[in-house]
Amino acid sequence: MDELLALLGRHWRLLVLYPGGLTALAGIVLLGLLLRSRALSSTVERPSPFDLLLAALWLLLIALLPLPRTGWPYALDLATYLTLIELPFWLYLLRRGLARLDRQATAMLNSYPLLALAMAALAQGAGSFVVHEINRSIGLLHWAGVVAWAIALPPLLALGPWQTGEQPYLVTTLRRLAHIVLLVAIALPAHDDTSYLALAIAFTTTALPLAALHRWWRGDGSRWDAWLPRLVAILALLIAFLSGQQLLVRLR
Amino acid sequence: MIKVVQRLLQALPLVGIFLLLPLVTTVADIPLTRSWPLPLRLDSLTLVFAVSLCAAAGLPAVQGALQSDHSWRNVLQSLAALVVLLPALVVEHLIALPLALLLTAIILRSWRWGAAVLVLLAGLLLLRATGARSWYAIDSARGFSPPIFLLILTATCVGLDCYPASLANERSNVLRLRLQPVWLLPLLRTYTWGPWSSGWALAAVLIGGATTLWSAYAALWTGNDTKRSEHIAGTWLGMALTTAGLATPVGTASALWQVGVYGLGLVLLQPDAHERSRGALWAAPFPPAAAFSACWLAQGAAAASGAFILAAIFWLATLACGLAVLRLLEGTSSRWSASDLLLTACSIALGLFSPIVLRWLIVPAVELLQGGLTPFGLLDIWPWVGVAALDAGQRRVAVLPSIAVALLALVMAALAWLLARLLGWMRPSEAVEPQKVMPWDELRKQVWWARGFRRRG
Repeated sequence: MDELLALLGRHWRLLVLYPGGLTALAGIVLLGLLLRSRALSSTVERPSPFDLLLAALWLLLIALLPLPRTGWPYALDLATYLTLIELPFWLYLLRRGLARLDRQATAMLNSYPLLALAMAALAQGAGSFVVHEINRSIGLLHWAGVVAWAIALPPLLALGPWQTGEQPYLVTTLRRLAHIVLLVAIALPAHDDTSYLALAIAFTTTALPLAALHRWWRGDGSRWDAWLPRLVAILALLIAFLSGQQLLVRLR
Repeated sequence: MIKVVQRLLQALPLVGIFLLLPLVTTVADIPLTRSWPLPLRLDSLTLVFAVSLCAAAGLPAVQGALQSDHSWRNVLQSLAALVVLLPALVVEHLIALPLALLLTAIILRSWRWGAAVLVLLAGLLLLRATGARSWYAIDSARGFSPPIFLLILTATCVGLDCYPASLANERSNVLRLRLQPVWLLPLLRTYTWGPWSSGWALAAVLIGGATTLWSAYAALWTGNDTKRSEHIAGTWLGMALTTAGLATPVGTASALWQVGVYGLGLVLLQPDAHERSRGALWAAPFPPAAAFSACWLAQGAAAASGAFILAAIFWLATLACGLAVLRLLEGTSSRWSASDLLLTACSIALGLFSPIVLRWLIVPAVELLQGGLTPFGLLDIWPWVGVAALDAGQRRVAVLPSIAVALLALVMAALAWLLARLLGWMRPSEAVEPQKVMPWDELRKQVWWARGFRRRG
């Protein structure tokens, strides 16, 4: 019990200052500017208590991400992060209902196999689901996982051709932020020697292409969708091949 | 009055839980044994299964409305099955459990269970004939061989309704569904006879993995709600079989946790209800429900064994299972009864305090099987923080600090609420909105991995 209270006392700054709290709010504003959404402005619909609960959950996830210089000793694993981001969002989707609910749902369901394999590739490369361990990995599987993850993001976050025409909203912007920061956390060497500047650059270089795609790609994403199964097959083969090689090395 | 008597009779197995739970610490050190009139042995593993059976049979009484038209028959069948099964769990004789399962199959009128019992009996008789020194489980390790393992595994798969056995249709029976996890016991018991060969473990993992994936897929896309509930339960049991096959302490702990919370999950799911209440939501792997801990443990167990593709499959199954439950809830009433609140509270408490329950109830049972397990996947429990899965090199591969995160979530929710009130963001009250209905059939035609299997139904 003492350990639990000490944990809360030592790590309150994660929730209030960095990477949650003020830093997350700055991230929302920046993402809002990049995606031309008005997530924080007063013209947008006010959140209900349920929305606020979801927002708190995703803010907490951002706060607990193992970004540089956070010092949180019990970082969640990748699978748990993704479950905590995605499953509550389905509840939100069904509860709130969108004009083009099926479009968003289809894009998300289409992306999940690639996302799952990207996660498997990253974990196989590092030998662990824990982000701290994944940060130490630099092999082919690691970078293949990062690229596949990035490819899965636009449909998953309803950007560009997959946008639903829904009014920009605090809760959905927070989910987008959580996904983008998770990708940054995976790609960065997140130990305490990494500077805050590296984090800012990594966040900007991840968010900028997504924002550019969102703003200027107005065509349909059918070709992207058509490539998803092939990418899944390629990634699955790559994981199988490299895991097989690892196994052979271990057996020798 | 009759309804009250029915309800009391149905709740009788819950008394069993209160009688069994105080024995947990006693049997964790030394199993309770008696040698007369038959060799009896109550150990931690048996205790987990006994508690699970009692919970599965008794908790529907808490849920309230007896949905079936033949409720008296259901209550008596349930009690009769328990009266037969519970003593058989503690009798050490090799044939005791198969005979009890045969009697239960007759009570339930299940040809699937009957077939599974015949295969199990064949395996155990072969064991006795080829090397066991007596009819008692403790003397049987010497005769344990691949054909016997294959027969026990086949019996488990048929009894658990695994893929492809699940393709053979049998009339839905909720009681059979509730008692189904008992089929894992004969398989888990084989660890006390020594380690499995890697080929045997691979067979169990492949069958379990296929069952998990198939059941999750079918649960999401089937059009029948009763079938959907069965497939969701099938996903849980598939995960339990797979993790049991991983032959690691964390894998076995995951399987036993799945067995332990199965009854509660099924009661929340309300497979026989004509109209579900909102409590069914907590049968989904939403944090911090017990089902979420169960799915996390399965993913952690797979990751700890280095099977990351399997962990990714479990993650997909977890998502599909969650969506299937949401699909079950579409169009249902938004009512919350007192029993729903009680069961939901149980599920959340079990999920949150899973590290404590794991250490108290599950770890002693895993230690009992230690002789047959490999060290490629260990469980690290911080009682007031959470739980982690470790690989063979003691490195963390999956972490779930459930209690710490819940505490931080409380603080964060309070902060968000305060901020929203101060800035005037929050809507003062929320109008009750009907849940939107997703066009699932249309959706299926547009999802590439579902479209390909559409013809199979």
